[in-house]
This record gives sequence, structure tokens and C-alpha cells, in this order.
Amino acid sequence: MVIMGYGRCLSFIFHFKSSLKQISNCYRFFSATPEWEPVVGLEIHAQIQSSSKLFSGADTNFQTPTNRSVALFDAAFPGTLPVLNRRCVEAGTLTALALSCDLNQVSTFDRKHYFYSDLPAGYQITQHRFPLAQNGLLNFIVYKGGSDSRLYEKTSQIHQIQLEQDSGRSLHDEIRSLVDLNRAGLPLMELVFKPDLSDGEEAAALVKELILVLTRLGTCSCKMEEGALRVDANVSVHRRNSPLGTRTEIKNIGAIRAVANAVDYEIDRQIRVLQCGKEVVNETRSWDAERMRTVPMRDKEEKQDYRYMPEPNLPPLHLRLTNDQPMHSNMVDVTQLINKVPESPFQMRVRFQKDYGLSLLQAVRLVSEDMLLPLFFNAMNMKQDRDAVILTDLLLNDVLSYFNEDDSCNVVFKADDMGTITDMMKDGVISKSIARIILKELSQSPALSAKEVMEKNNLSLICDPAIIERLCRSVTQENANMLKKHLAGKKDSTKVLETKVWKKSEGRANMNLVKEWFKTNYPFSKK
Amino acid sequence: MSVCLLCRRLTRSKLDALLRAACKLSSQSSSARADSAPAASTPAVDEETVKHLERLSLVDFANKRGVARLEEAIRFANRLDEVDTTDVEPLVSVLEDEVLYLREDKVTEKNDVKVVLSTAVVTEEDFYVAPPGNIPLVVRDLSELK
Amino acid sequence: MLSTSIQSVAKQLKNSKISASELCDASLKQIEKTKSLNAFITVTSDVALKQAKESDQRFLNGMTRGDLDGIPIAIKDNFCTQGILTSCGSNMLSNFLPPYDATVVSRLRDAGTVMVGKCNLDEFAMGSGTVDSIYGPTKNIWGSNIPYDVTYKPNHKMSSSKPKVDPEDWRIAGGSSGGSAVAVASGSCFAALGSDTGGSTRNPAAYCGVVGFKPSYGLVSRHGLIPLVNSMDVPGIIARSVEDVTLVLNAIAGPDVNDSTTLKRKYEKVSLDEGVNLLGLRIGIPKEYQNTAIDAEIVDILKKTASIFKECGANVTEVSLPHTPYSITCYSVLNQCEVASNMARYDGLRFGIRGDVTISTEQLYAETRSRGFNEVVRSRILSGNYFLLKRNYEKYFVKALKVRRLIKNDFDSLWDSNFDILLTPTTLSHAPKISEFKQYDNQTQCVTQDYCTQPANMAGTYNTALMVHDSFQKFNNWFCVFVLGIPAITVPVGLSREGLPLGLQLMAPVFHENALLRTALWLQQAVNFPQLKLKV
Repeated sequence: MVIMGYGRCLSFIFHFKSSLKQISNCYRFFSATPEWEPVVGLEIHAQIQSSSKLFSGADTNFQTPTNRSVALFDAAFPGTLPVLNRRCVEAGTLTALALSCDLNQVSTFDRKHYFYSDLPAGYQITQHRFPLAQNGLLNFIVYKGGSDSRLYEKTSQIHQIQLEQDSGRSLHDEIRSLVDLNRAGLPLMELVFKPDLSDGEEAAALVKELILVLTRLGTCSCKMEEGALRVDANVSVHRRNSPLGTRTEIKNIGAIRAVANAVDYEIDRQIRVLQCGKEVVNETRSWDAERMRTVPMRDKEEKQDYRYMPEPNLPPLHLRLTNDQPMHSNMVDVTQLINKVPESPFQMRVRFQKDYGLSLLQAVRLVSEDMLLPLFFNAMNMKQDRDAVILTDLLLNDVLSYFNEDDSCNVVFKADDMGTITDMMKDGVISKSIARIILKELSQSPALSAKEVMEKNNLSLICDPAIIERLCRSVTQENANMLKKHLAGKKDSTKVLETKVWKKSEGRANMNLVKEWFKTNYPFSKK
Repeated sequence: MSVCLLCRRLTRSKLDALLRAACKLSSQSSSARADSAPAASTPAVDEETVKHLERLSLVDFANKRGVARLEEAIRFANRLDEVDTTDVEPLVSVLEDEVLYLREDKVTEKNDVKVVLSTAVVTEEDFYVAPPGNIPLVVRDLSELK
Repeated sequence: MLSTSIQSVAKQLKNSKISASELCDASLKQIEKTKSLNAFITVTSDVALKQAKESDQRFLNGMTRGDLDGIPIAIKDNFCTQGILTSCGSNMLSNFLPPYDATVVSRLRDAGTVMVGKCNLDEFAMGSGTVDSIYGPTKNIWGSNIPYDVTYKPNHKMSSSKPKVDPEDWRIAGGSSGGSAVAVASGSCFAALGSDTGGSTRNPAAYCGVVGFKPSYGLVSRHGLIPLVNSMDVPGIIARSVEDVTLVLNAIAGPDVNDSTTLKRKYEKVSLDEGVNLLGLRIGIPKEYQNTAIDAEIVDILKKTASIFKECGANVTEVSLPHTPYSITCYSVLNQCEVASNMARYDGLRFGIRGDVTISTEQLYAETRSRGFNEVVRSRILSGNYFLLKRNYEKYFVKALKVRRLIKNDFDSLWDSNFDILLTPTTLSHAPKISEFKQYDNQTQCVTQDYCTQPANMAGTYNTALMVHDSFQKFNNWFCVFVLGIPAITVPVGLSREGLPLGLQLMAPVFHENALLRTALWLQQAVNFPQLKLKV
């Protein structure tokens, strides 16, 4: 569902209309003042898809009732010790590979200390000094709306990827906090990006791309509504050619659109603060989705020193990076794992443009549609010279809506049929509207093939001149008055008449031939 | 060296007396230092730091006794400066050459919520209970330290 | 019977000369008799009797589990025992009934042992006297007013020296596993588990005239051992002989999936059958132990022991571990840092006592922790956090780690020059009186007692060492050998003039338990330490 979000987003932008205006109206302030340069860096927490937690054997189900997925270690019972989950190391490694990071052959764990009711041990086990991976990057496409809309490529660099524990959850009210430790100890990958973004759209685009990558890898479900992916944004602004400004951190943004909104709001807020001559306070803020603004989260005076200390209960983590390194049963073998990294969305987009001749926009849209990709590739593999552009257009603009509307995933289309329809459109055997009819039929009768539907419903384009003649004649006869006006030169009624022919033929008439006929037989001459 | 030899010749009771005397010395003035012993720098722990430490420790020990012990600990630790550790690799873990054990991704611990909550003094409907939010601690006035 | 070895009592059980239930009964009676020593926090009579019954059933069916089946043992009160109070001698855990067993506890249970009780300790194992427990101090049986005989085997000749008894000024048991040591020494059980972070098993064992063994770090699981310092703690074994210690070791050692710091190599049981070949055995005596504060009697007995080894063919030489002057300092920094971290979980929300404050979380935590922890614990938390502050991390924590490396290098150069065993004193003197012990601040006490035993725990662990007053340094050149998780054992070798036990320590390279225990056995047989038996 979340993958659909990206494509859906772009498709509605491309259908223009009000939504676009809405966005651009709210947040145009800062873009209008070129003297301010915003600096945005994201830190993203992605929950690793695994059966059990990072350091304990408790389960990771989202729906478990309060405090029922809690191992004694998760509640920090005295005497309990962490034991690292192999799957989590593999997931972190796969992710690092997919994001072009340098993997550290040896990495270690650290304790990050602070007191909070949902942090049972009084510290979080993370990787601060020697993380799993460093120095990667993520390429993605950004769409900017407005009067000079553009689509461009952007790269954000990754500082490091580290494995760490999630904390529990507390529900606060005025008199107490209720703590649920089901989430305490869930495995997270923290991806720390460098502050190389400049606004909310770029931030949102990065998140969308990351979601694509991680879901394709299978290392994170990316279900933001379940808290499986959370975004923290570091935002600061400074005047051009001045040093960097004080930054604030917006924590735990839980939706893609909110990422854009929160970042843009914060940029704007900081500019307004600075324009008033005040100072931006280095603080943590959260995004209030209801009131569409960021609010301060913690006490401003709080000075946090996390006192990072190596985790003494976990010896160093070793990866097998090269073939000449001896293998050990406790090592994750990266030389094997690298084969499991699928083609990145970036590589796929390039391939779409280069090998299939799709436009950048088509490539961008198609890449994010999981349900369409198999149809595309299979259809293209069946017939190498098939028209990829027509096929893509069909998939994106007509087939996609069936998947989007179908919650129970019952709709099934066959690649063969997609190919057939594409070929028929290419050869002028059917029109777009007929194609739609065939799709509708197929969606309801998946056992049939496109050809069978065609024949059953007699859907092929009418190209027989005799039939065209007959149709046109009967329409002209039925609409004698209109014809008279046309011939009298008072009104060019051919278009209307052509439409009537189209209707009469149930959309099957080859409209080029119909046009030809009218041009030939009843040319319009203004008198 | 000569001090060592001298002491070895002492009888046990005389040694005890010496130790007791040493104790008296030390309790009289904690900054009294033997000439032969290498001098460790006197630590200065300001009020700001003490308050900060108390907030990080939450042990209610930011008082005279606590600060005295802290300063003693720092003074003792400062002796490490005497050791030349240029180009020495820190020994973080005695198991530095071992490979961390990885366990299979299986659910191996399913605890009854009653068991998990059994040791908590206060619970409410399967939740642990804490006072509201994280309101910063009010640290007592430390002027008594001066 | 209660003062005999495990092997001989196991024979009697096997031959039905006694039953496990009778043995258990006798143990519990002995505990009652020696109650005034306060070795136990909890006497688990119900559990013990049940386990003894089960053992009897096994003997009846001929399905026994080995030499430890039916043998009464005790557990230091910082090992989790399911449903049974595990207090760590602290108010903080005075209501703590763990929902699980420590691995070593369940392995001992699987071996058929009978758990008679949980032993007293210094609060959270911080201390070297077992005087800092909320349950009161533990008194050494030696020099106590409980009537006992000290006799030499095999002719049962009585020992001539008897310490003066002053019920007001008793002898300390040592710490932090004082309760375990006294339980074993007084015949209340055949073996006991202690923990060793800074000599905490060997120190009390030496004072109580029993064998105290600290295995290599990584050999025995710490799952369920409530940690003081994770990188240093090792479950320790106290028994009256090296053979008994070995039996227990073989029952509990070996990899544990629940503890990532245990080596996942298969454990080869130690066998003492072969004995040790002294010819050519290279024994080193680090000269830095020749400390002015050491009691002359200890130096004397050390020299005598060295001679015995020499006479029997061993190659005994003086060696040097030059960085030992800084080991305690290094140790103290790293120890306090770990303590600050490990104690962060005690907030009253999920286990342990809980304060009454409801205004804010932080205030509740502060109230809980100040009520729950004694001053020793609280001061270490404060200091530890100081050293871990970002601005201090390099200067203290990392610096200490570097000094640790230097100390390791000292040891490695010895092992590399083919030294097999190191011989050192275990303590500075025989067990001090409580009045002597109390004069010093808790801080200096530990240092005095610990400097000999500290090194054995150094392997990556930082002793809960305390600060030393500089004036003490003037009189006592404190040298501590930093050992790097290497195994060490204290063997009682003789009595002081006042009739109190004196012990000596042997150390070997890491995972050389075989060599170490065989040498210790040889030493035990060579010195013929007398037996303490309670008068009926």
C-alpha cells in the first residue's frame, strides 16, 4: 500500500488540478526569498523485518496485546544478557550493500545512556563509534511543482548505518505514564544521512525512494502507520555565504507527506524567527499533524550527555567481506549475501530509459509500482520489439487503477494479455477506449484471454470501408438538419457527426477512416 | 625501596600502628601528600558539573559527602596521566579476537504477562506505571558545599 | 561427615550409608548451629528437602546424575534463583523474586545438587569484607566463639595455635563472597558459588581457609549473575578442596547461548587424574607483590612454598610486571564506569523497591535509588558518570583501557617466555578483626585487601576498586597485577601464628584450567592444611 503512495502521488500531480495548487499555496514563502539557504538532513529509523527481536527471543508482531511480547532481557531484568539476532545483521548488511555503503569488517556495540520510563535499562544498545556500515548514498528523483515545475535527480549521502534497539511506548496523561514494553528491543537500522537536502519535497522524495529500496530488499516493511519507518529531520537555515545556522530536530515523523510539511514548516518558522532578530534554539521538536506545525518536545535547558560506553556483553561483530577471509559459523558471509541484492530502483529507471525508451517520468512512475513490474517485464520478454511506451502507458493509466481500488488483491491480469492489447493498439486494430473495455472484461473474467474477449464481444476496430460508409451514411441521414447547416456553411458539424458515428459503432469505428469519409464527402466550406 | 625493606622488618603490631597512624594522617587532611608519592592534580568539580552529574545519576548524592568521594575518585584516577600510553591500542574487550555469536531468528521466549509484571510494585491493567512525563529534576541548592 | 570431601560423601550416598535427605538435614542443622555467623540471607529448607527427596528417589532407581547428586550446596545471593529472594545484599532488591534461574544454578540443579540457601555478600558485590550488606555482616568462623577443632590429617593431631576469641571484635570473612566462604568453611555445605570481580571469591576463601577458584572469563556463563562489572565478573567456586572445586566446575562450565561472552567452543572437562609434572614447570613470582604492607607471615609462607616447589623439580623464578602500580587506578576507573551504567536500570518501575514520589519520573528514580543503594554504590555511580562524560571519556576511560593493554602486554611477555604458573599471595594478612577493617573508609579497605587478587580479574574487568588515600600509598607500594580474564585459585597453605588461615594464589594463562587445577592440587597435597570441624 505504501509503495502505491509514490505512484499515486505523482499520478495525481500529473493530472494537475487543485491538489497541486494547494501544496504550492501553503509553502511558497521561503522559496520566494533566495537569501535564505535551508539545510536539511534526515535520520531514518527502519524496523528490520524479522521474527524475533534484536537481542532477545521475543516476537515482533505488531498486534500483540500490552506487554505480551516482552522477554526478560527487554524489561532489563537483572542478570539478563543480549544475544544478537543473525537475521538483523543480514538485513543491515543487505541494506548497506543496496545503498552503496562501505561495510566495516568489524563493528561494535555501545550503550547510550539516558533515563526515560520506556527505556528499561537506562541505556539503549546502539552502534555509535564503529557502526555496521558507512559512506553510502541514495539517488532519487524529486518533483517540484509550481509555475516552473521540474523533475530532477538528487543524491543524498549516507554517513552511517547502525543497528540498534527500539524503546518501549508510553501513554501519557496528566497524572501518570503507562508503559508498554512490546516494542522495547525491536531491531532497528538507523540510517543517518548527511545534511545535503534543501527542502521538504526533497526530504519526502528521499523517504519514498528509501521505502522502495527497503521493501524490495525485504529488510523493512516500511509501514509508517505501524511505526516501522520513522523519520527525524534536522533543519537549519542560514543566509547565503554565511556559516550554518543552529539546527532543530523534528522527531518521529510518521508519514511521507508529513515529512514534506514538517520540514517546510520548520524552515519557514526558523526564517521568521531570524527575521524578527531572534535566535533559533537548538531543541527537539515534534510535528503536530492536526495543527500543521512543529512544537517543542523537551525541556530546553536539558543538557544531554549520553556517555557512550562500549557494550561489554557483546564481543565485536565480524563480517566476512572477502573470499580470502576464513569463514566462521558466527560470521555473516557478505560474499554470498551480495547476490541477494536486487536491482536498485535507480538502476531500473536508467534501464527503462536506455533499453526501453521510456521517458524519465514514465520510468519514475513505473519503477514504484510493484504490481505492474512483472506485467511489464514479462510482456516485454515475450516480444522484444513490443512498443514499451504504449505498454507502459496502458499499465500506468489504465491497469494501475484496478490494483489501487482492489483492497483484497483479487484482480489478476496476465502479461500475455497486456502484450496483446499493446500490439493491437500499436497496429491500430483497437483504440484506447476499446482497450479499456477489454481490460474491464478481463478484470471480471480472468480466465479469458484478450483475444477471446475481443472475439466474444466483437470489439475489433471497424476498418472495412463498406461498413464505415454504411455507418456514416446512416448518421448523416438521421441528422439531416445538422447536415443541412454544415452544407450551408453555417456550422462545421463534422466533429459532432463523427462522434455520433463513434457512438453508433460502440466505439469501434476507426475514427481516422470516419474523418476521412466526412472530409471527402462533406467538406466544410464557409460561405 | 629502603622504605620497603624497613617495613618488612617491622613486626605485625608495629605495622598496624603505622597503618593506624597513616589513617589518622589521611583523615586529618585529605590533600596531605607524601613527597615520594607522585602528585596527582587536585580535581575541581564545580557546582554546575555536580548538578549535571546528579541529573545523569539520579542517586541524590550531590551533597558534601558525595562530592568529597567524587573528588577523591578523580584525584586517584588522575594518576593515570603518569603512564605513557603513546601509540597504545586501548584494550576494550578481553574477547577482542573472538567472533560474536549470532543466534537464529526464532521466537524463543513467550512470557506470560503476569510473569513479566510479577516483580513490579505498581502496575495498571497490564501496563507498567510511571509518574507523568520527564519533568526535570529539581536539584537542591548546593551552596552548603562552599 | 559434613567436613569431608564431595567424593567421599558421594561414595557413602552410593553405598546407601546415608541418604540425601539425611545429608540435607545435617546441613540445615549445621546452618542453624552457625546462625550467628550470618552466612546466609535465605535458608531454602523447603526447596532443599524437596530436592533431597528427589535425589533419594534417583539413588533408589539407580538413575543418579553423578558425584554431585544429593550434595548440599549454597549460592551467593547475586545469582538469580527462580521464585526465591535474590537480594544482592541491597535494599534495592530486597523484594526481588526472579522469574528465572541463572544458568549455573540450573546446571547445578541438573547435576542433582541440593540448594540449602542463598549466601550473604557486600551490597551488589562491592566490598571486600561482607560487612556492607543490609542483612548485616558475615563473621568468619575462624576466631569465632562457635566451638571448633582444627586437626591435621592423617593423625588428627590438633593444631596448637588458636586465635583469641572476642565476640565483639570478630574476624571478617572477606568479600564480597564472604557468606559463601563461611558456609563452606563451617561445613554447612560442600561447595558454594561466589562471584569474582576483584578477588571477591579468592579473598574470602583465603581468610576462611578454603579453596576459592576464579575460572577464565568466558568459560562459565554469567546469565543470571546480577552484574557488578560485566567485563570482569566471573562465577567463582568455593569448596574445601581442589577436587571438589573441579567437580563443580565440570558441572557448570561450558558455552551458554544466553551469554554472548561465553566461548562457544566445546568444554573439555578438567581431569585431575594425571596430576602435574613438576619437573621443568616454570613458576614465576612477580616481585611487585613484595609489598611493604604485606604481613611478614605471608611473605614467609610464600617463600616456603616456593622452596617446596623448587625441591620437587619446578623452576621458580622472580619475574616482573612493571605496570602493576597503575592497575588499581585503571581498574577503579573502568569499574566505576561500568557500575554507573549497570545500575541505571534500577528505577523501581519493573522490579525492586519503589519510591513513593508521583510528581515526576526523575524524582521517583532519585528517591528509589537513594533509598535502594548504599553510599558505596551511589558514589561509584556518580564517579563513573563523571569519567564517562564526553569531555572526560578520552582522558579517563580510554586512558584506562590503554593502561590495561600495557598490563596485558606485561603478562603476555611472561606467558610467551614459557612461564606456566604465577605464584603470589592472595591477601596481605590473615583475616583482620572488624575493628581493624572498619578504621578505614570503605574505599581504602578494598584496595588493601584487593591488590593481590585484583589482577586475576583484570582481564577486561575493572575492579570495583576504591580510591586510595595518598598517605597509604606512601607506606604501601601498591602493585596490582592486572590479569586479563586469566584463571586464578587460592589454596589454603598454613595457619598464621595466631591460628588463622593463610592462602596463596596461583594463576595460569587463559583457558589453562587443567594446568592450574593440577598444580593447585599438588600444592594442596604438599601443604596438608588442617581441617576445621565444629565440635558436636
